[in-house]
Amino acid sequence: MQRRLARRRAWWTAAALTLTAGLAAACGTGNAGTASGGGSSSFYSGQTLTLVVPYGPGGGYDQWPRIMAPYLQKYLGVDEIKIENVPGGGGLVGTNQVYAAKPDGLTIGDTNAGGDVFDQMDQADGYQADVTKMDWIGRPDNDPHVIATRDADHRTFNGIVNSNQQIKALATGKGSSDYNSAVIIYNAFRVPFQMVAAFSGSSDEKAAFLSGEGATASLSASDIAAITGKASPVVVVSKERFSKLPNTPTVIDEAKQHNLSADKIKALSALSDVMDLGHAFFAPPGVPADRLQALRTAFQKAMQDPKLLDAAQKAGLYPGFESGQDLAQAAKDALSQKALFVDLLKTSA
Amino acid sequence: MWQNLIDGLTSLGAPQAILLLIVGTMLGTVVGAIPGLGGAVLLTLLLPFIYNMSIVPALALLLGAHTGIYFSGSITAILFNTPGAPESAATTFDGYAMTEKGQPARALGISATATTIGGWIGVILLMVLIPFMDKLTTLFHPSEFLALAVLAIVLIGQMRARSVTKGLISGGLGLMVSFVGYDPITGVQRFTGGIISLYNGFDVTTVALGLFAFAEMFRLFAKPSRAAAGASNVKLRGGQEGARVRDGIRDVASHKWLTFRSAVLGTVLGIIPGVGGVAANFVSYGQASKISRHPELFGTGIPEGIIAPESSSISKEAGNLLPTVALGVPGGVGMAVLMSGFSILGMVPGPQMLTQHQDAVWAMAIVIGIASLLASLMGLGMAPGLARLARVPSRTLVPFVLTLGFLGVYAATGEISQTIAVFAFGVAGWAMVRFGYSVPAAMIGFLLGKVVEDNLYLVRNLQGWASLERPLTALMVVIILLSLFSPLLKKIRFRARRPADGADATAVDQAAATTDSAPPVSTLAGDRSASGSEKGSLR
Repeated sequence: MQRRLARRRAWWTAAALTLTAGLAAACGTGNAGTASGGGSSSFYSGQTLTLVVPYGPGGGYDQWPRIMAPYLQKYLGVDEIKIENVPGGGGLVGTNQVYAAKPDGLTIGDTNAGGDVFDQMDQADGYQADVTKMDWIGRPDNDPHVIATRDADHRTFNGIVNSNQQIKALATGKGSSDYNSAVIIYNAFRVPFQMVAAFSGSSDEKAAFLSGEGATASLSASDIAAITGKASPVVVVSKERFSKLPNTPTVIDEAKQHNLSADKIKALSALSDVMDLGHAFFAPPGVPADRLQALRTAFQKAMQDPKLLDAAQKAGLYPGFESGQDLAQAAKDALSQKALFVDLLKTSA
Repeated sequence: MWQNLIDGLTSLGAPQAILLLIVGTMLGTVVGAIPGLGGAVLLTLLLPFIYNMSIVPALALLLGAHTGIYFSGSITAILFNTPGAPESAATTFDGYAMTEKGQPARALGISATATTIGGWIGVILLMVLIPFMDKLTTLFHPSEFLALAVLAIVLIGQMRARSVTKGLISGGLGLMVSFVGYDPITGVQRFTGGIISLYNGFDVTTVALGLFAFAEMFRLFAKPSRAAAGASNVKLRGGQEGARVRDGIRDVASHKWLTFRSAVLGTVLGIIPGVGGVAANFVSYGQASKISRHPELFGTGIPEGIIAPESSSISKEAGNLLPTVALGVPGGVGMAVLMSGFSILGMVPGPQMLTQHQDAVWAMAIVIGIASLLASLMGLGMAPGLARLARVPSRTLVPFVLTLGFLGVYAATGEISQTIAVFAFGVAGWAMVRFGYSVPAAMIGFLLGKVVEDNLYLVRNLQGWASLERPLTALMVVIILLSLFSPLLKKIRFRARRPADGADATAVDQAAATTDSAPPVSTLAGDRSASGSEKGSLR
């Protein structure tokens, strides 16, 4: 009996130890970052920077922070960068969380800045941030939004505009920036269209599009690059032509070609501004000026590091730095274009 | 191609890769037993380590952990009715029932063996399919996603419910719970009561732990001791004939065809991104009971009921790799983290992966196989010890599992509201079992709710009725109709043929009786004798 008890106790101890070890391992891995580098700002040395990703792992909003983390850490001088995925509400939950965080410069996030502008215009349910008050840090990539068709369909942008049949346009979800931009463009060009949007992300949208569903898809240039040979962009929603797609016209080129009214061209260029905001990094409003400056400087230095540029290119991302100051201005400008969008955002279907 | 396969193997053979594979698998196995830390959480925590690693060792670490998680998710499902991963819920049906019969070691033996064999079948199938991967993954249209989801709900709805109607109601309840949160089509919030933490709906961990673990703990709590459940009646030490780990291994060996079938099914379903991985174990279980000669025994703790879901447990992950690698469409949550890993390692998923990183693709397939073997060996070694945990009295077990459950939910969601919800789901699960509703059906309904909703919309807006002309969709619709109405048809036929078939019916009854009363291995013996006497009586 005694022996049995002792043995039983041994089993319990073993079980408890395994569990503790497991938990310790799980927690330990969370705290371990990469080796610390020579920092610049004294405030940040020895600190932990929390970087909130408002989506789950796997997409561009997760890829950029993870690729940048070691470089941000090096140039900011922090001990560790903790990346937290806070998915939910189409990015709202994570973005709200960063916006409401203590503005001590130790919590930052990346966000779909164009989507935030639309949410703010629509006063979307649950959106609790203000793009004009956020402390913008910078944008890492230049990955413009495009409208794509399948190569097998041989559909051009002219073909879409002159279509007699209803164009079924795929986008991720209602109210997302890729959805809104398709609506605005198709309304501006008077395309008969129906939005079809119930995908949990651009990868699902891509899969359905490749399987032969829908006529056009709202995607980003890098999404299309991954499926070269199967689908191609017909129009770029950006102020300028994209260097990697020199033959694809911008939506403004097309607007001029089709002799759209000056008002519509104005609205489309405002749309291009909004879409050019892209994956942007921000801190909550009220971060002390010197810390915000340190964040911006480290971000810019990271973006100039040839190793980072190389890593990003290998991962199929399109690096293209834009400063926090420029983002702040662009967000303000974009928001002031609300009146132009109201009519064009009315869906036909 | 062979050169690449050899390259993949060579880079896996490097000491660093082997070490990381072992570390990853062990971490996954240990951490996966803690509900809420499985799935994406552990993998995300491992991501910071792979900077500066070369591709194959890094993938060995991640995929090893991923495989380990799915292996140990079943251990807790078998011992405590607590699925470590939501998909492991399918293992609770017969796994926990077998534990309650006093044979936890046998159940663990079955689980470890079936997982490994199934895993390897999946890996081999995956290696055959890799060269065709970019064509395969675009085969599926929204109508197939929808039909598969409905099929899973219908199949599971008929299980563990007192009637088909109650089962289908349970599935419907699960679907309704999944509607909490953002409407994927209109973007409006539904049933959230303005609570931001519910905008994204209830978390899978919350629902799985509530419906299974919490509900069972409430049931145990209401009983004077666990002895009432029958667990302590059987001596575990020394291993009674029929209840040992090796009996479990033997069970799998004598169900070769079932193991093979379930593994292939798991792999194929795994290829369908988003739906397949979630539904695979459930559908495997469903097909096993549908095809079985004694479907009424499923849920009472028979080996077939463990072999089927466990054979597809890892093979579905092998299948999951295809859409992840070929299209960059993650097959499941773990695969989504893997994609972030790809970008850290400088790999771009897509058809070009086959030209640029083919060795890595092969290595990934092999890693899954080796990791499942490693995890199973560990599991088999620990099984006799783990089985003792099944004898922990409820006064110790209940608080332990509840604490672990609350921790798990909080770890997975970070929301207090979800820890309140898990309690509510526990009560709901307890009541459902009490009144003859099907908890598994509710679970699968919840898991597939968004898939059903999204794809119903997509089918309506993109494909319409023409979707029925697609052979795959039509096939699945036929299976759905058959499985819904076959009990009715059987009844009608049975009535018409009753006089002639009387002996047949008794033989089946006898088989049922033998299996119920006799200790384990005799399930097979009973099985055989049943078919024997059946033939005899017909002659």
